[in-house]
Amino acid sequence: MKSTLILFSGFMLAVLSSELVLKGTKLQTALLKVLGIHLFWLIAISICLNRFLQFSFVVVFLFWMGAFLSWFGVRSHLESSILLRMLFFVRKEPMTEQDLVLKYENHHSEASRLEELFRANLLERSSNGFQITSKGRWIATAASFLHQQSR
Amino acid sequence: MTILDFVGIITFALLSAGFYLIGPRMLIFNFFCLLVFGGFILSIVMLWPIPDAQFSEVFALVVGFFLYWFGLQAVRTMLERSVSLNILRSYAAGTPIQTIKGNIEGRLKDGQRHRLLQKDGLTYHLSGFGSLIASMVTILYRVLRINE
Repeated sequence: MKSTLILFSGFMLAVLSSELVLKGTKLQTALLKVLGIHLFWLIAISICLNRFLQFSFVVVFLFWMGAFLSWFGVRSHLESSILLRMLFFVRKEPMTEQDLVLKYENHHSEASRLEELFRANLLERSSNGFQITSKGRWIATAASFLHQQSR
Repeated sequence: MTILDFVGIITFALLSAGFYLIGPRMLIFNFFCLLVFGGFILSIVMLWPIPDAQFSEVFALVVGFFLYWFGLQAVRTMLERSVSLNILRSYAAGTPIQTIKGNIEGRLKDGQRHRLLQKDGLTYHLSGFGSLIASMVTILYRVLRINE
């Protein structure tokens, strides 16, 4: 089980490194850096495990895919979920719908959403406000493809 | 490549294909994943001992596939509900939408449906379950330094 412990610890190191890079910002603002960090740790851990403990590269890769997707999903929800943010607000004191909408829009206005997408290089400024970048278009296309396939 | 690697790749491919083909029908997707997961375990039990394979590799795969199943559900939720993705898709389609007000109202209804929130007249407050989730969220916001 030493090898499993090394594998899990390696993944946690990748997560910690990613959080140091993100510094509390959204995943989308540094997604390529985070992917690079995970790729680095995946390669390092799989080489170590294979060389010293004869652990399969394929197994490390498959484990990492699952663990990364879970971490990505949980982190994305935490940073962006409107419902979780509502629970966080109401935890301090009961609120009406109007108060919740006002409080949410003060913290996460429509303009700030667009700014986040701009900082992540998914939108760029144009004469009319914002337009989508090629990176943003790629993500939108992939998401639309997966979304429409389900209909 | 060992037989375990081969079984692992097939299992991963089946879970991915299920995500792509089944779409947002979560009950069917979960049932399908349970079948695939069960099939993986059964294959290992029937093929064991597998030459050049270690038990710790099987354990890592079991944990990895479980996390993959969970992660696919999280990604499906994002595809269906993410405000940022919807904004991006609307810009890509040439019809930008920006409003999120309707999303907030919808989320409050979701909160009630999932027994996280209770409504007393015009006021929302947390249920017992909602308090537990809200406390966990607060801790995670602080640990991850997410702007409160």
